[in-house]
Amino acid sequence: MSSSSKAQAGQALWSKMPKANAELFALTYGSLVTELVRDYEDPIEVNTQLDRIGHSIGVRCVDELLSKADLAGLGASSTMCANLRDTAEVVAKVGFRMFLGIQAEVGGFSQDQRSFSIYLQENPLSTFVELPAAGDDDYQYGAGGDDLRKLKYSNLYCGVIRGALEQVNLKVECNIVRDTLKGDELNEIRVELKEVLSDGAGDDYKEE
Amino acid sequence: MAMSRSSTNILDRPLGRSGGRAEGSVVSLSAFAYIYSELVQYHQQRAASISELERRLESAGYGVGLKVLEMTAYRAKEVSGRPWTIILLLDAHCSFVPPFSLIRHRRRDPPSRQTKRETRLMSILHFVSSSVWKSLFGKAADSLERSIDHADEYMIIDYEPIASTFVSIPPDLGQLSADAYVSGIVAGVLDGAGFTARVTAHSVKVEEGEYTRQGGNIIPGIPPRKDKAVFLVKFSPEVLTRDAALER
Amino acid sequence: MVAASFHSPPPPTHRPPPFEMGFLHLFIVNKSGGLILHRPLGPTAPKISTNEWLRIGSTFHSLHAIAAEATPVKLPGNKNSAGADDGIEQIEGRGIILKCLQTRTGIKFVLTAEPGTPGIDAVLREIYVLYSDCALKDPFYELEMPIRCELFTNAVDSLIDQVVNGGVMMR
Repeated sequence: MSSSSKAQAGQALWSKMPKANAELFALTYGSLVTELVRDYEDPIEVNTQLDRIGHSIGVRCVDELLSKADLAGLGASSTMCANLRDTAEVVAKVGFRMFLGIQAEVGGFSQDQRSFSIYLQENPLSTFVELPAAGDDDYQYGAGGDDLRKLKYSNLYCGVIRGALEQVNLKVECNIVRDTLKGDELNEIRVELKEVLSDGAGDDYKEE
Repeated sequence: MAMSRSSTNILDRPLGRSGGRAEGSVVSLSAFAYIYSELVQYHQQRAASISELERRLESAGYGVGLKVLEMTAYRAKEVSGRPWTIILLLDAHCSFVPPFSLIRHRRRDPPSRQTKRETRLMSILHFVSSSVWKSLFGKAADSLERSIDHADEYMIIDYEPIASTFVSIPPDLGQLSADAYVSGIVAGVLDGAGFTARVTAHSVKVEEGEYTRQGGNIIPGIPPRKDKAVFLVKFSPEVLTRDAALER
Repeated sequence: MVAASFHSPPPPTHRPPPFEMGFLHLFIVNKSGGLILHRPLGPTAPKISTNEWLRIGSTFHSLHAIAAEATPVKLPGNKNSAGADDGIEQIEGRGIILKCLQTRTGIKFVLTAEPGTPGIDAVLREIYVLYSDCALKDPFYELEMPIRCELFTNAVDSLIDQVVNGGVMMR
């Protein structure tokens, strides 16, 4: 269950995945964001929608990761998580790698080991995108006068991670804390474990 | 201008290096499929009819098409119009994009390569079915055909249209094509190049023996598709008139 | 592991050569115990009515959970070695074998087959992948609801066909 075997698993799974053009991907996402901005106007609301949409993707893509890892014989060894650190590494080294082909890193574990960060150097969602610069009045403010710099363009990732982990009974909260679109040198997603959920069925039959 | 720690302004970076990734860069087909699935669901919730859903998907693709034109044309050394002409055209269409543009439009230095302007209908169609298709889908379209009955209609055929790869149209949505988004992209490319057309996507059954794919199934485990996508391109009258005039 | 006896399927009157594996049914149960798919996989599969299927789905879901509690060796957290919920993995009866793949996301893929059919576990894993491709990426499929994705059912049929006739899976 080492970090490097997870990285290898991620690479192995990525190589088997049929591919699509990254620009088509980025532009399609851009089309979705554009539509959301047009429909909701308020950037804070758009962020919420992106998180919701990400959640919808997350609850689905986790099965793809688990089933394909299992089929490739990587299953238990690379995706079994004894603790949150293992989970973090599967998300970063297997998940981000197999779906997006990018190297993501984990780090920044808190004292209580209940939160961590995922770092992305490259961000396939934001190819071609530039947010208006602060003070650039022509562009910064959207149709409704809202400050577009409040938009978290890649908030989709937060929803994806939240949805995926929810399916394996981990309730987490995610936030984008650093964003290259806002001038930071890399993208950082902070993940915090809130609760480990228990399954439904078995509880009915547990002995008192 | 805000002080940015990123190396160069996005517009000054060579097109191939946008976002730090090379041209030809890929993600998994799954990633595209999930995003596209959400796009379809988003529009479906807001559409009152099948045709409205199709229009919405086409519209979603249109803005993408405008950008794809600029990128593909620039890279293919064939530019539809001189650089500033393209920029002006795209600015005019900026109403389709929110106040922050996905590509901010400013003067670009003229490309040093020799550029050719596509003025003929057949050339632009060829450009779309070959360069644009290769750029977006990794391969040229399977065929480009002209309608026998209508002089203003052409068809671009794709036996493995990417957008509908994992989509199963429910019986109550009958004739809906999940590739409507791509027809919007085509419309955006054509319109941006000055060849206004109405483009629609149609799902047509593949006849026995009509198509065999080299190299096995495109998606492991999933049997070959029973239908192909036919993108019907209907040019507006002024485009045909102009093309006929150029003939003489 | 729980052994039980079931009614065996009626003896086939004509078995096409060569004698091959007899897959009977596939059924899929969602997290809440609802049946989201049932599909006959071969000519010898017994006919089961929709109501009976719904009963089978919810009964199996409950039995699966009870098994983990009733077993003499209880695993920590009731999770098996693959990290999924512990429970029924296999039922053998006279003339039938049932195998279950429980995913870590709480879905159960269940195959029934004639005894001696090889490769059932591999087929189950493959079906899980097909579910992730053909159902979960379909914008018209709603999670936890009955699966009506033609792409999925075609792919399953094609898989069984391949396994039965070719003996090798293409992956």
